[in-house]
Amino acid sequence: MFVDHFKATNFRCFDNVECEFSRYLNVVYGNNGSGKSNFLEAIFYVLQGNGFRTKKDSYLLKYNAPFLRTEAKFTSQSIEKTVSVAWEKEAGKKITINGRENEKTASLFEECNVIIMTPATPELVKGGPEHRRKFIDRIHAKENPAYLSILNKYSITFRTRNLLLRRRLSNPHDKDMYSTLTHNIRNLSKIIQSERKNTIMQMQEVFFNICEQLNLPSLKNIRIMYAPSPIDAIDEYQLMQKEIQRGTSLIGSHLDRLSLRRDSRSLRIYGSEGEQKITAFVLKLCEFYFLETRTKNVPIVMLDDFQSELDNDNFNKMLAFIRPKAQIFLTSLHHEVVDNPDKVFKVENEEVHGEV
Amino acid sequence: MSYFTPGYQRSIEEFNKLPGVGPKSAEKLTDYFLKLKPELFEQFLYVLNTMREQVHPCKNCFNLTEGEVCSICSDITRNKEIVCVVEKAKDIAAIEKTGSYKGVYHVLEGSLNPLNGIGPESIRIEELFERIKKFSFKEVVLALNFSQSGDLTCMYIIHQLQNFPIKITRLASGIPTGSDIEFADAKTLQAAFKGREKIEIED
Repeated sequence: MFVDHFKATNFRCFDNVECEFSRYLNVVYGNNGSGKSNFLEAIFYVLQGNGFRTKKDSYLLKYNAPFLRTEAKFTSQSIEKTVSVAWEKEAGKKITINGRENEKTASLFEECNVIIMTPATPELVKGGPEHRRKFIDRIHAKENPAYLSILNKYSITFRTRNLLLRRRLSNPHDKDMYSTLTHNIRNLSKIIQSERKNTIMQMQEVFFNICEQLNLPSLKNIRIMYAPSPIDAIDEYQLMQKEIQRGTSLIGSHLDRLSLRRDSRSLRIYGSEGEQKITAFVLKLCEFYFLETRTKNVPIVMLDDFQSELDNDNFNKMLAFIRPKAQIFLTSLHHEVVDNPDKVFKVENEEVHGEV
Repeated sequence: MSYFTPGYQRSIEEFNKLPGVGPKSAEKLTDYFLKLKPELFEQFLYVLNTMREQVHPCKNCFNLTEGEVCSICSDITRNKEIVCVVEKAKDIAAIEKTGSYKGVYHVLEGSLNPLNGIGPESIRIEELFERIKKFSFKEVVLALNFSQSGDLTCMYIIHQLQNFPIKITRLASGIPTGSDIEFADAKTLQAAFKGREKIEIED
């Protein structure tokens, strides 16, 4: 998919921005603090319905502005579409896709494929297992939208269960409700764990193939290890006592362990900084491959300050992997970061200017 | 800043509290009532007052009635061995229109949503269990919405009734009659696949 035309009003530091993009490599450059990432986030916002650095819309609003609005014309599977996402304090978020008003963020998630790589991406390896669970879940939900509704159900069950546990099951019907929710969380966990297992098995194969293609032999023996949290065979009474004591759910797929290992040693602990970074970016390339092949809709790739995280050789290899297929937005301090960019934008004084 | 007189503005604000009535509609309604002939306005108030005085929940099933029990509970031809559980009294009207259900009902007056402070004590769920204990129902049909809170309410009822010798069923979900498969969303289609039925070939 490609974004051809984009417009934003009152988004972060920008009053008004309007741009025509190239369908290939777009370089966005400017000094530190000029608003390159804000510009990228504005494009991300109109395609996904939320920012990549914050989920709070109010943080994206320009200071003292009454509302924010972003709109884009994009082409997905050869069909031209329009989308707009607006937000104001009283009315909340309003998403319109192809003239259909009051659409949900989930519809944007289904409609638009976007991959973002930022300096925070290595958290996928360096951070806790929740980053990796979310990563795997997101990829699978793209292929199977019904999985998203399973995850939503799980999240509500989990939050409701925690609410009861925090008040120590003190209300008259809490124990009955707790028991129903325990049953629910087990059933949903079984589905989630089975789906995660399948996706991870496929992911391992894709990871290996991409390492071969990019000539990264040192990463080829990295394994994605999945240890589903046990959900059965736990004494019910003991579990309840323990959960009341801790005030949180101690069973369920939110406790699944997902790690990257080389020779059974965790990359999170024993991997070098560079290894962790490259592995994280290769995982994002796996996501690109999954989305491209499973949804038949080539994702837009956003690279925020990407080259500062990698050496030249790896940066060029990874860019070469996606450049022939996808529309790319790359932010950098200098416009000569790559050879022959298709379009260059300069961000300066809270404005964006296209350059030939 | 309001451009209306205080009385007019108060009326707009009151109408605005009604479900489905936005500020513009509230203005239209206020204007309508302001211009309504006095005898028609009195009649309107009388109808509303009478409705408030006379309409109340049935003591058995919590359907709306003007007597002690509703017309369905007092109908001796209804099958008293099957109870259909609904969220709102309005759902009964929708089911009755189908003409395909001849049992009795139980209105929960809501569905469980503990995150919004609606627990079992806030709805008529204990009354349902009391009825099931007291009367010899053979089947409970759960006709609750296919929403997060509807699903949770179903799960809760199923869980609480697991030791009762009673058949529990839930309405099927899937593709609406007369609609095209190509326009169905993924979740609906998935539910339709899950609930597909075996077709018996008759001789």
